[in-house]
Amino acid sequence: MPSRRVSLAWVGLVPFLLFGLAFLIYPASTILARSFIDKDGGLTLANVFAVFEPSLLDAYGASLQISIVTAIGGAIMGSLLAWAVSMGGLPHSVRSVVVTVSSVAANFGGIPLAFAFITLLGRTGALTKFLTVLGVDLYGLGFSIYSLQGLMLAYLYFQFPLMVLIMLPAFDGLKREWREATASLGGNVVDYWRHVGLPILLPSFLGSTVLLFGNAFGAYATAEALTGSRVDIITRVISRQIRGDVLYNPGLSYALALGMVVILVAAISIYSLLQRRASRWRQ
Amino acid sequence: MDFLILNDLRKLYGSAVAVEQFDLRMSRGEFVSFLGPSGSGKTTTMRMVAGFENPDRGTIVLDGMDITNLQPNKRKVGMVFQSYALFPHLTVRDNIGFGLMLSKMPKAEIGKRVDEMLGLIQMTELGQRFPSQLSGGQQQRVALARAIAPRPQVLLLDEPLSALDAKIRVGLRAEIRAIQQALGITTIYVTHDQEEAMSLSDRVVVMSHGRVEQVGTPYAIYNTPATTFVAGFVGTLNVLQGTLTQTGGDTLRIGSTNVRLATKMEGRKADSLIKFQLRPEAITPHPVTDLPGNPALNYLNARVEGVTFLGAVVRMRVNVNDSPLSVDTFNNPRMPPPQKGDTVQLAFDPGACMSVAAV
Amino acid sequence: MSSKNNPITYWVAVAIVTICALYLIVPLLTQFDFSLRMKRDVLSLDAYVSVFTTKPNAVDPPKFYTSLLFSAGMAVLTIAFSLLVIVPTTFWVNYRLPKFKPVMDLFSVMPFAIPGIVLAFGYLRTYTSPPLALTNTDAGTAFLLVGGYTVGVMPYVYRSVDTGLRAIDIRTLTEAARSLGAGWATVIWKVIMPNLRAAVISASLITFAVAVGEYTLANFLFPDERAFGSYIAAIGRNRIFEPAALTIISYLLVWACVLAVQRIGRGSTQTQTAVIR
Repeated sequence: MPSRRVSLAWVGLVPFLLFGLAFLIYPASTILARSFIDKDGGLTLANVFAVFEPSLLDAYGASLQISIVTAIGGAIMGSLLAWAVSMGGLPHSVRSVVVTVSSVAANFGGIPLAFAFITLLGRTGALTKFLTVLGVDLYGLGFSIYSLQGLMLAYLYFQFPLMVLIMLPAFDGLKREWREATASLGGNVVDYWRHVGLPILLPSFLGSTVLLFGNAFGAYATAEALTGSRVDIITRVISRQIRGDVLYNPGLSYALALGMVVILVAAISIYSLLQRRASRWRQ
Repeated sequence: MDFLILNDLRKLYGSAVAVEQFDLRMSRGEFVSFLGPSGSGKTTTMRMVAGFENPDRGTIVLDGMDITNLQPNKRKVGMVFQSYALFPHLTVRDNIGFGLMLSKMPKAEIGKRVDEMLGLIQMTELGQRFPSQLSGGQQQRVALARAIAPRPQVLLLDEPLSALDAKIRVGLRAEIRAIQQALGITTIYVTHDQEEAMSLSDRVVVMSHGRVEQVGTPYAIYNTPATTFVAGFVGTLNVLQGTLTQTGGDTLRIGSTNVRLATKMEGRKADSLIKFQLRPEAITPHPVTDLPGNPALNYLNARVEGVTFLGAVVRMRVNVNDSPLSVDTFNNPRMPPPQKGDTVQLAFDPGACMSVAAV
Repeated sequence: MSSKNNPITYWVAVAIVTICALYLIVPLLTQFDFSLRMKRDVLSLDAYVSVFTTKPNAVDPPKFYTSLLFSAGMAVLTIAFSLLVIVPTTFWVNYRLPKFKPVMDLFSVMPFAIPGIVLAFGYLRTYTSPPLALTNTDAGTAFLLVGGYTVGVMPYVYRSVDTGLRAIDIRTLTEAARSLGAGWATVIWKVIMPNLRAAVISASLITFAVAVGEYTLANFLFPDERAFGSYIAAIGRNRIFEPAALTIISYLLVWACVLAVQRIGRGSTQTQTAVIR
């Protein structure tokens, strides 16, 4: 009797499993499988080796660079803002405004974000012109919004607010008693952060940083609208492969997509390793 | 002679008085409880000793040194919090050794001291656990060990047992007292639980609305409460009232019975309403008889409205002349308690009648 | 209670908040200003009027409305589909199959490893040829789009619903309802859902905000630029001031959804984001 009940319980999961199979597992495994199949249907590693071509590696490199820089930059900036709002002694209204604006910014991205940054920092952008009045010629100094650096500035717009939303509860979770216990045991502010505050925040910080990395690594729309063909990040290369623009090689495009998945899976794995080490103490 | 002196402390939050005119002198090794309801200022006073609050007036002197404006981390004051406040990312050992680590004690010595502390709280086997893997009682014992490991001059305990189950509470209470006496550590214990304060302390400070109501031994606080508040807050009290039979006399009329008080009501007119208080255990219930009783005692007839059998103690709710009273007696296996609806005779000593000030 | 607040801490906090606020607000302000400058030397709403009235040809209504309507429809279908798939499953796993929990957690991390563009690529290569040639019809393609969006918002929806479920004692509630004769559908719709109201509405609003402006999946699955995101991109290639107006409109749309979420989820610290990029 109990065994029959259990087997019936699994029936309740069928719709979800079908959904996961159709929209996630099957397409993903198709990409995985076809990365290793040549034009004639035979097994091959040629597609995977083809990824290691300089221009493609550069595209991965640019994607990694922008993702790592904006993940770490966003993580630091977002954590500082979360700290300021949670522990800076500011009025409560500041906190709720920051939370609202951050929620909007974290969900705001894609094409409109690129437009906003072009208006702000394009060659004739508002801030560019303003700085020229002050005697700073951004474009003369080598800056361009249509570059990797420009893209990073735009990505930061949604990266650090996302960090705020994740880190704010973590900062709120630091109990006043921990600070007082540290003080009564002879510790000063530096001791508190070094031995108590930061170690407790570390798991959340690491987890969110990896989330930001993935967030930037998979991004496509903002880059498409902002830098177009001027900066080749990997999502743009894949988009060209999908459209069949250049030297269309189906096997290679599968391997390129697989490469992205491999990097993201590696990021998640590194994260969960770090996380497990840093949060041994959590139940 | 006095080890810790709190002199005329006052703390305001905005215009609200949190603590006022707080004076206390503690000798070395003494265990003093601050007892009062929430908002009475007991925790604020303790936090001023810890250095987490700055007094608006008054001084705190510890072992001859004025520490009123000293930073908390320079005070050598150990603190135990209601919420344990253990560091969740550190093992039991690292928690206990935290203060020693901050004072740059050599590792080997820290290890020895931590072992000693683990033995003291009987948790030698659990040193490598994290706080989340411990019960509430175990966590609070670790918190106690963490606070006393650096050998503080004063130990402060802020409602340390409030978050625990009743049974664990009683056991841990005894453990705290034993450790405190073994180490001879000067201790302030904040609680709203009068039983805890009475059973643990050398002296009790009863507080209400930011002021000290009474300071004294548990015996003195219970038997000679200085104010109505103390009398009501510490233990259960019955209030009875009657009319004075003659001006300045010592006899009240309650219903059709006369009751004698221990003192004369100087300055009170005949027929004026007088209230007095009686502890439940000061009243002895008897079956009603017509036999003359002990002339030294007062007798009142009462109707039994409820009987609660608590084991060693039998608690009765009775009614005297429309006033409800609580009566406690010891269980007597030879004589079952009265039933609801019975009439009993209550006997009590005039000396047990506590007068209510300014009624 | 009073905490001794260090003035240095306070001013550092003020400086951080100010810098971050400028970063978030200035690009929008300049964009708003730019959107009002279509007419030379005066401020006007001409860019907005142009967005609202420019027709693709003589017969069809302005592309702004048709594309917005299309994407809003996709967003609503995504909400329905994701709730239908995720809520009952999350309930069932919490109630009867806690052993399956780690698998659900894994599922809810997987979208993270598969970015939108890879998902789009996978769908196009998997579902364009028989026997599963879904992309041959509009309905089939729309189904793929909705499925893809559902995958994208699943981590967020799953987490909100899971948190909501753990906040109530579903076992007792369910058993009480069952013992009173309720069927499973009644249990879910009349007992569990009302308790998940805030979680479900918040998840729906965020899903809406994200799906309406989504570009990557929509653009690859519907290359005819039918979706709102594709429309915005096309305007960006051809016009100067209208993109600014559209940026402001998109921002207000997200803003409205977030404000509504905060109204509903007062006091909840749930991270309010579901990212499909």
